[in-house]
Amino acid sequence: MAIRITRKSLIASLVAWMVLLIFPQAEALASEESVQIEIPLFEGGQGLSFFLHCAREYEKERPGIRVNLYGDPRIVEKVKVRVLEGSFPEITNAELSHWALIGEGKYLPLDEFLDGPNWEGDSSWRESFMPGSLDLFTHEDKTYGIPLAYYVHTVWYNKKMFGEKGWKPVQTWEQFFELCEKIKASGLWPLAFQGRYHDYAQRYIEAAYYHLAGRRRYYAWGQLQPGCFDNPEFVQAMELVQRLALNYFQPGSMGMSHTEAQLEFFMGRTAMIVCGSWLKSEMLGKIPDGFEMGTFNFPIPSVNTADPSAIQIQSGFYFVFKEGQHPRQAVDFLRFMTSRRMAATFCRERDIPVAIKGVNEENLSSDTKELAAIINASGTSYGKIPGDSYRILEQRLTDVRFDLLTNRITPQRAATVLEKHAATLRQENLNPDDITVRYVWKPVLFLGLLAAGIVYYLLTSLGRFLAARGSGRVPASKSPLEFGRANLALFIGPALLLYSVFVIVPCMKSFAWSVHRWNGLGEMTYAGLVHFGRLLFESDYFWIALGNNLFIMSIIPLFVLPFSLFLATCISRGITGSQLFRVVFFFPNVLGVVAITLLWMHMYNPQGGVVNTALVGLGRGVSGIGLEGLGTYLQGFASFAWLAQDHLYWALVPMSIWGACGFNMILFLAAMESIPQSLYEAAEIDGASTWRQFHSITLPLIWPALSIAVVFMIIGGMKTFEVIWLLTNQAPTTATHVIGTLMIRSMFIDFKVGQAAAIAVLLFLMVLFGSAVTLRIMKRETVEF
Amino acid sequence: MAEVVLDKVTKVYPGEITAVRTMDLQIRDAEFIVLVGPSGCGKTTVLRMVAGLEEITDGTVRIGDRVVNDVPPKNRDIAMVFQNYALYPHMTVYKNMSFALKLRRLPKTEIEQRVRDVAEILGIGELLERKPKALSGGQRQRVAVGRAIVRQPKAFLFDEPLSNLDAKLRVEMRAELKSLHNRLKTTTIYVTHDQEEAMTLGERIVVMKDGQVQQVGTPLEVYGRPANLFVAGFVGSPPMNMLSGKVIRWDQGFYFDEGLAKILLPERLNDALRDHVGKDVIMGIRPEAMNLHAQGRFAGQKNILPLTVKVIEPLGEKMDLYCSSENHPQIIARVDAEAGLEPGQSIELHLDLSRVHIFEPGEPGRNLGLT
Repeated sequence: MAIRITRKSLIASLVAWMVLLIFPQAEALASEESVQIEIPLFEGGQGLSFFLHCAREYEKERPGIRVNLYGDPRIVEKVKVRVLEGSFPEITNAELSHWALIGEGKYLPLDEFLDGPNWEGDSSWRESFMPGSLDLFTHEDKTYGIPLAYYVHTVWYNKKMFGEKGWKPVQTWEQFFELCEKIKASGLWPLAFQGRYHDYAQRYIEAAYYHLAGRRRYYAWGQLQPGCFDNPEFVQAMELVQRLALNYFQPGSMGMSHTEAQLEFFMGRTAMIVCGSWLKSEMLGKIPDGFEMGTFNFPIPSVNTADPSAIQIQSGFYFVFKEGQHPRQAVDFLRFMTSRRMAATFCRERDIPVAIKGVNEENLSSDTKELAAIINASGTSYGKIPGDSYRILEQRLTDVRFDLLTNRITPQRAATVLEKHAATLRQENLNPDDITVRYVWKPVLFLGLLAAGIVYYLLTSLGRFLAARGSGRVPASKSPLEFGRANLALFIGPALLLYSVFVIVPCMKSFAWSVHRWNGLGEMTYAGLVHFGRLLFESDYFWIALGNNLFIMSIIPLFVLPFSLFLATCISRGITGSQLFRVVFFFPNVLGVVAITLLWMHMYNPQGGVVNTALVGLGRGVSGIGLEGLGTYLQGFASFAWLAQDHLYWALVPMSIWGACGFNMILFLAAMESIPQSLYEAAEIDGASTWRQFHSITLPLIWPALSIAVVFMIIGGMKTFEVIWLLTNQAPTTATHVIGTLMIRSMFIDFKVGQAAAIAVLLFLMVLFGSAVTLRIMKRETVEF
Repeated sequence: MAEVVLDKVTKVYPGEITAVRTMDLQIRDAEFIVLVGPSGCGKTTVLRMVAGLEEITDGTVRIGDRVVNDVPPKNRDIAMVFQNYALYPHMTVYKNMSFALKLRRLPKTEIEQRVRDVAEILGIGELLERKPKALSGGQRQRVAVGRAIVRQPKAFLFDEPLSNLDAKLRVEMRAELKSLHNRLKTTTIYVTHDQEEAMTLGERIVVMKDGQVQQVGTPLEVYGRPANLFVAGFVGSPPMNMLSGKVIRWDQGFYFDEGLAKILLPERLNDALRDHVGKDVIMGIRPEAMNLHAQGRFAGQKNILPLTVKVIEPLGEKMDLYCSSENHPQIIARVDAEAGLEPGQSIELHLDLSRVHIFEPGEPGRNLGLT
């Protein structure tokens, strides 16, 4: 029967489609009649409740204005996308590349408003802030960032414990080491450390270097001046931090998240921890009753050479986008937010000091009184280095920091590595088109394999086509349903339209971007194949990341495929207890990667996590039955940092087995259950053992499912992203990057859009031809039962 | 080759479902025996127990001199042909046939020789390199049989092997299987629900119902002297007519009184009927034991059943008359074809009294003539 669709019905359906596509925008247009300020916020230790309260209060003060305030711990990802696409919200505090945005003129300079009155109208707005608190984002006499909370990094200590043991806060590094020794001698670990987010180590390094090298040289990092790393003071700073890490950090801390480590401190298992002012606020609800917090400033080399009152502050600033729809109204909101009434509310609610004068004293609890005193006493502050170059160096700094903390590198070597990298970056900035050829065989092999894959695919396709033509099996050109052009457009059109808009066009755009140089904000310039050249012939990152992808692609299936085959076989053969495994292993499929990762993060907790507890318990049991060697080995897993970056990939194996086995098991099980039981019976009568039946019957008959599983694992391996990104707190070392994280880093952290697109293109080619060739190689004749 | 003996074999499935009840059966060496019965009667279970695919709950199965209750299928030296053929779909015909031989590690040359010989016998020599999906139903059937023969087992087990074929092919294959058995002389147990297949193939037939053997005998014995109502009704097509009535004694003889007519029962039944006078019984008469004319074996005056014709089904030389009377909704007679009969017409059918059976009513409905 031919399907007949009239022209009229075709037009009606297309109109319906258009309405569906346009409708959301129509709604948006309607709501834009009133003034709306959009404020996406980072939802960290300070929570969101205060800001929502503030928004509602502001709406009362300024009727007719609606504040659309929302928050998210990963808000930065969302705001970055908005910035790249040029649709700016009004205000944000997301950890963006502030200096690049200042450089491109995307942030509104606030001096005009700062010199006007504050919300109360009793001083200028600028005057209402604590001295020095606006410095961090003041550039060429223009101020861009407004602080509310005053995020100061200090050493927090267990006040009660210190009191009982007679320990006292210290001032110099030598005193600090002595204190740590005393604590260690008492049987406790001196310092908890947020090792999985080892950016926290940067706080120690910066404090040490600032005081050793002085303010001028500290900020010289920003310009990557020659000698800014390879100098005696930097080496000494690194020595201090390494000495601290290797001797006084709690064992296993390199595998702990920030909250896990902070909990160790609050549970009294360590005496101190370094953290920002948000510590108490972040851990509210988890702090045991009666716990008393005290704090002291970072140690200094000696009282004579450094200013002990200098405080290390961190960006918690609010910026107004110049190209937002209502920038002036946004500034007005910030004035309200930093009013004494609102600041006092924040101070009381979260127990975090604020940068507004005359608020902290009356509103902070006894836990944060010492912190307020440190802030009040401070004459100067230091913090993130202004400028762009430092940010580009971050990847190498991440690597060096990790190696330093895990004793893989000497302080001198660390300084040399950073210095060398700074020189390379300087060179790259001067001559962006120069590529130093450092790899030859790898790119040749890579391109050769890619070309071979393409040729193999094309040749086999041609062979198949010819064979099909020879046997007269070329598909009929006309469908039995007499589709007219209009009908064809109706059925395929909407899908094709959506697919084009959301897949093909962005895909083409990526290809175009990959041959351009662009930071996502300024002008785009043509760069030819320089990004590809740099990735393939010069970059360590690319090859290391690709190696990691290959690990995930090849090693993990080696565990996952046999295990899921085994499970599927047990279940299909109805082995007792296998139903339980069906549930246990299928469960992760309803969870999603993020939930699975979070679950395993807890299991891998070095202190008290299920994995280590089980291994140590097993070790004790094994020792009990006389296997001393094995027992000692297993007990060595107490405090083992599974998720530290050097063990990360092997820790992924059990995670992947649990996470991926269920899906593959169901795939295999479905294939196995379609095999008639009589084939096994025939084989049994023919004399085939269970293994032979599996090998000669099951395996060949589930081959299509098996090849799909292999291709899925290859694609999954190449596309790996979330797991690594989450487990490394979005800061993988070079050694732990995969192609996906490298791409995201290039795009959203380094703002190298062209390079990110080039990585995407290479990834696309690898996935496309890798999976096509694998499918082709594994292709066997279809069987019919 | 060997005899297969089932001694008090019982199979109970979980949930106390008894599939086979204390079954005794002795299958002689080189015999072709057919297990026949309706679906769910336990015939396939018996076969699978002999094959070793089902555990035996109670009793023993012996193949040759060996009790095989605990012997795995591969060591029983039997071969089985499945209803759906169970050909390995990814292997060629050659590989399908040689699979078992390869597992026994026979020399390659011998494997090749045996496969080619069997293929020759079955006429599938041309198909050895094809895969099952490229074969027709009949060819697949031959390959399945070939795969069994090539192993030269002690016994063949066939599980409804012809039921997936069309009617014409089924008749052809039936004949081929029979001649194959004549040639190979291997003990064969054949399961079918088709009584016609059972009659044509079996040297002996085992009729089963509800897990119990109803009758064992040659096809003619089972047909001509059914042990009970079930066998009588199951074997033969169209089935035997069953008329309910009473035994009466009159004028020195025993009569079957069905209400309208009184049929004189043969003398050979006299002893058996003596205790049943005045009681309800069922008279069985096969369709072909009735005739429109009182001639030859149908002659006489006390063998007449008055009926009305409902439907006439001409079969060529013969025709089936579907008749009824006040007491019997349907009686089928297979008579010589003749013209002039119309539906609605009253007729008198003459019975061949030598082929009349009297059964006890109810279960099991014993044939009184056999006691």
